[in-house]
Amino acid sequence: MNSADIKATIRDLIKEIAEDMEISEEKITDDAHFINDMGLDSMALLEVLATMEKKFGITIPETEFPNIVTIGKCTATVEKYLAQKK
Amino acid sequence: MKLSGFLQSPDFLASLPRKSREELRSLIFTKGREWFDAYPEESMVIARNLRAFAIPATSALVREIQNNVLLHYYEKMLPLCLSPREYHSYLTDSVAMPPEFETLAADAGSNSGVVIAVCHFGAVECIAPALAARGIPVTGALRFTTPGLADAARARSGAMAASGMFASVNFIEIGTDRPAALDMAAVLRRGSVLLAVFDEKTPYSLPVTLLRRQVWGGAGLDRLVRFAQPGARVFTAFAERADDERCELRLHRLDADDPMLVQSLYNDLEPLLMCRCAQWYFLHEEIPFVN
Repeated sequence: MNSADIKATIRDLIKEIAEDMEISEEKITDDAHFINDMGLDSMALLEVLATMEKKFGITIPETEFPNIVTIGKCTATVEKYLAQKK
Repeated sequence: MKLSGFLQSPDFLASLPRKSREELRSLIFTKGREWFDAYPEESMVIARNLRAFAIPATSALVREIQNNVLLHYYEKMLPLCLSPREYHSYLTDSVAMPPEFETLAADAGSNSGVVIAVCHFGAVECIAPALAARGIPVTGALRFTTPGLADAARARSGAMAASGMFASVNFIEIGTDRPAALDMAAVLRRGSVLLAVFDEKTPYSLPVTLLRRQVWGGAGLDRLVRFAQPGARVFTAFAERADDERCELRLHRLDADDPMLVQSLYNDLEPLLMCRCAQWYFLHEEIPFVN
């Protein structure tokens, strides 16, 4: 899976959560901060983290949790741990 | 003004160091009773909640609940008055540990992640420090009611750990710009012990049955447990008061895979409410009934 595919998967996940929370799709960009710009709460971030781990079959160590803040940073984190898995 | 703000004003907090237990208790009860007298509508909230649970709302019971509210503030502020040695001695004398403590200690030492689910019952403020006084490091997720109390609690917790008599007590502050749920998940992934409140309504609470009424509960703890699986342990912990200065910790390990985990938390609370409902000081808040 390449970087674009990973990003698209994460973007779809964020869109799904944002829809549940009635957050406008316009706010979803690669660099938008999940909490400050999009208005997600921290439990929603846990959902993002848990779903990413499940979808990509990786375990993200807790030291990386501060990176669960934008689609871009999530993509980079997933790429890093997918590469380690190989 | 809310009771928390009234009892935790910067001036009041600044006056606490070196007050004796008796002085603190007397101050809290004098100021607290003044506040309850000034806001009679607060007694009506308690009475309404009791009636909603089909419990007779006698004035004696309402007053007893108010006293438990005040005891909770007394216990919250006690560590700010006493030296670490005095507080350690108070906790080991006042909080009786059940046999299940050994199970909790073994789980805490196994690095598998432990959730201790607590609620607004009895001497809940003593649970984390009492465990730390017996060598178990705990991270508590909580909402500090005033910034002054948050600063004082962090400083006191540092002094307690530095004394060598306590394991560390750390805090995750809910309701700030920190992603509290991720911080809580990180504690569990590190294999540490997380203490969190379950009897609050959040957007992630679920409907549960309590005393034949449906209330919102769980505060999303089930999601955290699911994330921390496999291997994470879940306990309920209630510090049931025997009298105003002593309590017994009740610990119960639950099945972390239980699909009805949130209801199971309330199933542990319910028998305590049936015999000690005055100790559920949450009755002075608006109970989050489903209907």
